[in-house]
Amino acid sequence: MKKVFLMAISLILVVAVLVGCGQSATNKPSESTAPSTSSEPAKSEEPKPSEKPLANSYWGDAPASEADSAPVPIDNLPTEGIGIQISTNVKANEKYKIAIIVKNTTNPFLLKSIAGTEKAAKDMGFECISLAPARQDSLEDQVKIIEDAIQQGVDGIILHPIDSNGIMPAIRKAEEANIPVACIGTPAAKQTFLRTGVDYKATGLLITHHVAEQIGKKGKIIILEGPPAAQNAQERLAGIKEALQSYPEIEVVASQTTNFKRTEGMQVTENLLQKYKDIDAIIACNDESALGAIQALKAAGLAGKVVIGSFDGNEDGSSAIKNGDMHVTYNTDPFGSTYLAAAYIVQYLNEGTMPPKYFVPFPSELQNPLITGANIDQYMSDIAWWR
Amino acid sequence: MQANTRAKSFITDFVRKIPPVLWITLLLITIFSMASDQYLKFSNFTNILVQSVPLMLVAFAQTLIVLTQGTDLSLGAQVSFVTVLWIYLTKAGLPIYIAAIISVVASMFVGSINGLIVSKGKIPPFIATLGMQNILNSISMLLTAGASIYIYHPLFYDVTKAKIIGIPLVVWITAFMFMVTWVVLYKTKLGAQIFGLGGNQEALTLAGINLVKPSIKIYAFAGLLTSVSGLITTCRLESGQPVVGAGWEFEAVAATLLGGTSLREGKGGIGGTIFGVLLITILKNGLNISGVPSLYQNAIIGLIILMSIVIDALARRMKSYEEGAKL
Amino acid sequence: MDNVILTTRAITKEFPGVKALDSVDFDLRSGEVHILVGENGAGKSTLSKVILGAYIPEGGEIYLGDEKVSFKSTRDALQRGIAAVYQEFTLIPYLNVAQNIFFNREPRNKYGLIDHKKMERDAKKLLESLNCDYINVKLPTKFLSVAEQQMVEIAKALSFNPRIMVFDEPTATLSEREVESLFRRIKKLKESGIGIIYVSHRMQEFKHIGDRITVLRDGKKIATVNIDEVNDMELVNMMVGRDISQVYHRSENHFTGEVLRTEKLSDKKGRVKEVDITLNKGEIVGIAGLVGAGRTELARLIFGIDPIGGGKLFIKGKEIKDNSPVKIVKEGVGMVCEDRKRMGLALNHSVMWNTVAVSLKSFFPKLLISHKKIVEIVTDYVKQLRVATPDIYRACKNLSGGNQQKVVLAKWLSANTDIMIFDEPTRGIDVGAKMEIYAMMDKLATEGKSILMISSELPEVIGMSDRIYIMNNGRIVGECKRGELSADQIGALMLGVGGDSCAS
Repeated sequence: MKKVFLMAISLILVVAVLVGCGQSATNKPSESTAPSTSSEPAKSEEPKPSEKPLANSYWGDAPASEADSAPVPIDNLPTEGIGIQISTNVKANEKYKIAIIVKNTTNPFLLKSIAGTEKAAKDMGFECISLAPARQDSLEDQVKIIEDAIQQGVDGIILHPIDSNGIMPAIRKAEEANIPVACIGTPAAKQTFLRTGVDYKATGLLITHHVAEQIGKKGKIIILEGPPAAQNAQERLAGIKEALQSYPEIEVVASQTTNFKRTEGMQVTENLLQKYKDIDAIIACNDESALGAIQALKAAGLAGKVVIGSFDGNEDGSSAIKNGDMHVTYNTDPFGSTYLAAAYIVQYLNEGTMPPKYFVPFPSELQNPLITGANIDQYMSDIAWWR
Repeated sequence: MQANTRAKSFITDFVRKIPPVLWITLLLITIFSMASDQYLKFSNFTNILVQSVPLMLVAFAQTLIVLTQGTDLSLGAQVSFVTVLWIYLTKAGLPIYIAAIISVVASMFVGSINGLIVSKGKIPPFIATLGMQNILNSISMLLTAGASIYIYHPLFYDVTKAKIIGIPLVVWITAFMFMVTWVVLYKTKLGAQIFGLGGNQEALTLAGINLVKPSIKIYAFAGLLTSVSGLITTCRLESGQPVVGAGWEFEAVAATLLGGTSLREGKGGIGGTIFGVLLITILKNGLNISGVPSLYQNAIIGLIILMSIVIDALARRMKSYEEGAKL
Repeated sequence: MDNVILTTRAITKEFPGVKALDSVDFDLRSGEVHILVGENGAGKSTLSKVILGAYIPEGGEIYLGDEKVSFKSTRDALQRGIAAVYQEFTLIPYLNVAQNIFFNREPRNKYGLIDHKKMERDAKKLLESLNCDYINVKLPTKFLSVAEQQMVEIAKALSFNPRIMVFDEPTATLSEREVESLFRRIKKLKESGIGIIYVSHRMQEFKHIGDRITVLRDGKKIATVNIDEVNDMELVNMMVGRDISQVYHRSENHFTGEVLRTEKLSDKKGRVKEVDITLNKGEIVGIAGLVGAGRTELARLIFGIDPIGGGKLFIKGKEIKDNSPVKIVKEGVGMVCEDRKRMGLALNHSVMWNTVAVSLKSFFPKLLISHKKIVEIVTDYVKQLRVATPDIYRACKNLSGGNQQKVVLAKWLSANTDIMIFDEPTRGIDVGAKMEIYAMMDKLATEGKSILMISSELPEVIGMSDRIYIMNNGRIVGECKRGELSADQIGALMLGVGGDSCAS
């Protein structure tokens, strides 16, 4: 009996302490229940049952794929700078509760998304709640988390959707509760309050053009693709292929998947190098696979002879640029992206100001997202999102 | 003569037999409602019920299998398979209801194959269903090319939105499936055979019962329950998700054990499983609502499930100790 | 014999490598208890299972009355009115009494669902007919005592309205009082005209219950006799097939010095009460008693499996406190137990590894193990003990019961054990293997090892022991030297009745 009793007591303590921790970390003044409904221009929309289930009051009923992805001029952004330098003049009128919901807690990219929101919360004065599925990358769990966040009475949601279509019912529930949802990276199927983060296709275009210039617009290249089913990988690949159409003298000798993994990047490159010895460039769909390719090139004694372009600008990728192993990568800046999303949500909650349009790519091309040997030192010391 | 007093103590036993999972759940509710003022609301109550539905149905299925001393590792894959098949068939042009029925039948068919392999092939359920899990996962992937598939249909929305007396339709469906499972377990021959398979297989053989038929029926019925879970999940996600059910089978085992069903001897029932599932759902919901960072959530969930099972085991051991002393 | 209800002619049943039944004739009359007796492996269970349809014989015929029948399954036999109460219960622990009695034949209501009310009513009626109405039909059978479970088994068998009932070792797990009440119920069944086949090897029961007796040995029928025309010794001779003094051969031996002593030793559960015993070097001491008398518990206590509840235990003059198997084994004590699978052998492992399992560390105090040396040692033991195995790498599960027993023995011998506890050393092995085990015990004793033997087979205890302690209800109720007391006298003490009053 004693044993059971002791176990029970310790169980109570554990739960209470942990819940208490979570509570104190996210404590909020009691007056901030919900944004006053009068300040909500978008609230006029009613939940419309079956005849129009995919209701979206913000940008009409348009699918996300039809969004205009032209960059917004820097001056029009509510924020200044990129990476960890990002700042804003926007201040929250009330202590809003904004949730950042990611896909998992192992990907450094997603962790920095959370960090960006946390900095935004500090700068703008709102309360940030970070949530992720207990089962990694589980759509069903992510849906439950959104439902719970709605129950909790959050004022806004910044979301990395696990699946464009599957997340829609949850987003609809949020919008029915007048909670704006900003998507980062993979968008939800229909246009929500805001989409920001990188335009994957544009990143593909930009990097490919850069690499093409480097090799004199002609030669043989290899493409290392991402996971075939991943939406962001598909869009990025589409950008790469589109850009290559303007270079008739560049020949793609191979295009294979490496699943965004370093080991696979190495294996695939090793195998391809057996067949193709005179490669001019490799375009890898993320830094990790590019780093694998560099390993393979080094082993084959080809290091430095092949131009390598990639995406992310993560820590190891930046070092590779600094060492001269890699030539160009793209700063995908999860930190700044969520910060920007938070700024738009706060503006909306304050005065009902909508973003200039549904898709605001970030960092915009005007902020020079390419990282090369020329700006690597500045990037690493001042901007890098992973720092 | 002792039997009568023991019958009496059996009733008091029954009261004491309410699985510890119930009071652990109540304890969690108390803690969470103190932690967040949003917690004890009717809307959150229905929210929890709705969220528990898909796992609930899978856990009913798993409980039946565990009662026969098996474990069905293919249940989660069956859920994914049903979500994918339903959308796939509808996309291919079949009427949505026909596609749903075909998906249910397919899931029951998969279940009956499990039952056949387990009973006729005498393969341990763990292995047989692990194989089935891989096969189903791979079929789901092939049908969808790895990504989710999607089709617009108002039915999905209607199912998730519909309410009867303020309670969502999906909860009523689950309640109905519970009734059906209960009747099967306690009011039919098959139910007695389930307890027999778990408790004393020799007895079934000596009674001249061929073990193959009941096994097939049990696994097929489990397939029925999982397919309903799959259909509801599809409605909730409005898409076919090839990996959505990954890991549900283990959560279902946890819920089954929490509910007092034993991995041995064919002991237990589906009543307790309800509370096992609710405990898991309430835990996740409460942690989200009181804003516990997700980095801690998994550890807390694991810890509490573990401790609940240990407390349960200790309480049980204590009870049998007392019983031993009485005799 | 016009009231013969069952006849078998020349039944033959073979299992791989064994002729379990060799042309057996048998007949059963209505209203009689026909005892089927024989050593383990003699074929009595096989014969009963053939009659029950659980085994299909290779040859021979079965007649019910004058009609020839052939059963494909137990269900066929049940339909023809042959029901059984098996030694291993066929109850399902978490179904209630009524559900168990009517398992798979549950009455249905008009909706096709099980009619629990009717089922419980019928179950109650059946139990009342057995004077067992104190058993709650709604209670899961898990919560019943063994005797109550057996009553449920009998009720289950009766629910088929049988003309013939088979009881397979029904008293193996019952206390004396329960045995008595079981016998009363069997007599009642007999009076109602049911023919009963009673499989047992407990001679003390036969005269209480039986009318005729059929002795089987090595799959052959030896004789069928009326119970009052035969005495115990004749029966034993028939069962064993040779003079008992040959079977239980003992060499002259001298005992030197005490190696084990208990002083008012008790366990914590009250199954062993204030036991005083001694064991000398070179001596075989038998412990006789009925099942439940506390014999096995005493062995478990001495070997350290159960904790000591009171009193003292001395091994080689040293008091053992906080007993545990590890400590006891270190003192040079080994145990060969009834349930070889659970306690003695890793059945899936080879003869070799099982033999050296305990002694491995003492052979190879250093890190590396010499495979060659192990092979030498094990081969030696296999030869010495005549373990019938093609090679030492064979998994133990492929050996016969007697050979498994020898491997257990080899295990302890290789660990230089000099005190052996044998718990039912010959249960489940055939007569030939038994004799070898006996010979081995005798040899061990002459070599100066001491043996404490627990057995429910009284002839074995009487035949092998230098001294016998008789246990009843957890206490030692008697002690005698070899040849001092007769089987009857010892039997009486075992039953808890003093002196001569027991023999009937």
